[in-house]
Amino acid sequence: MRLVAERDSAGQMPALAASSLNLPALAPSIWAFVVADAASFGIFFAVFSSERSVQAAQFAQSAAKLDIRLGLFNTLVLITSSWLVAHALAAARRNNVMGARRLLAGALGVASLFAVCKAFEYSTKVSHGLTPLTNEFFSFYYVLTGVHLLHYAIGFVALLYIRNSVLADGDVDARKLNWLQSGALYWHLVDLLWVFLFPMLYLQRAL
Amino acid sequence: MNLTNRSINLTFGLLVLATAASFAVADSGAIGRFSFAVIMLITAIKAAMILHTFMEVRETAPGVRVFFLVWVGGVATMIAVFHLFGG
Repeated sequence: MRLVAERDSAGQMPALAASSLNLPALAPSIWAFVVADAASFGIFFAVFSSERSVQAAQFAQSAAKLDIRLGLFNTLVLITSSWLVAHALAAARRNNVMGARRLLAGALGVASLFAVCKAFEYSTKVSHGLTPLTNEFFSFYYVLTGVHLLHYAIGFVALLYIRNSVLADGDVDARKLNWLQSGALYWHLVDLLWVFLFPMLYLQRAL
Repeated sequence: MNLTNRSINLTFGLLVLATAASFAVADSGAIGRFSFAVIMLITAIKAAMILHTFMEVRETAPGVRVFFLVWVGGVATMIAVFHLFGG
């Protein structure tokens, strides 16, 4: 399987062959991890929903204390960073390493706003006396968003490593593409999980 | 390989619109008792778009595709049903 394309007569690098780039061939292990992680969060969501059905009034009143604008902002931040990561992968598949590096830098810059916003949100809640010990809703809130924040941090560091080390120089080859596809897949999982956390925690109030 | 700039941009635009729509439904409560069910339907559509375009789940093994089909539908339905009939 030839993965590093040869330059044509004009010295340009053609796009890498599509048949060489399908995900199962390059990143089967990351898919197993993503499936296991999604299954785990599915269980977390089930436990949360079950508990909410027992204490609906308390959950609705507590959810009303969250700032829905911060949840919306973080949703848009993660969607935007996912968009840039997807473009970075597409650029890498065209063997545009510099383009991929620029797009990853943009994705990381946007994504850093998520951590800033979360830090602000946590500190505001704690200063108002809303801690994991306040009630069941806030226990779930801190655990679910905390575990998600851990996933975010791992994904952020992975993308930073891929940008600064894996794609540091040279053409795209199978190893580099495998790294980027795995990192991108994991980052999109972080986005996917937040897509469910946003309505569960922020949008359920008073509905 | 279908990860084109056009499909990426189209998915991004639809995700932003869907997010705005779910926020508007929650903020107005216009659909009353079924507002949250509508929000979870929008959420399931958003998740499907992320899986299809960004994660390229269609390119992977059939078992993984089936898992995520069941996962998105199952999780969204479960959350909506618990919300609608719980408490």
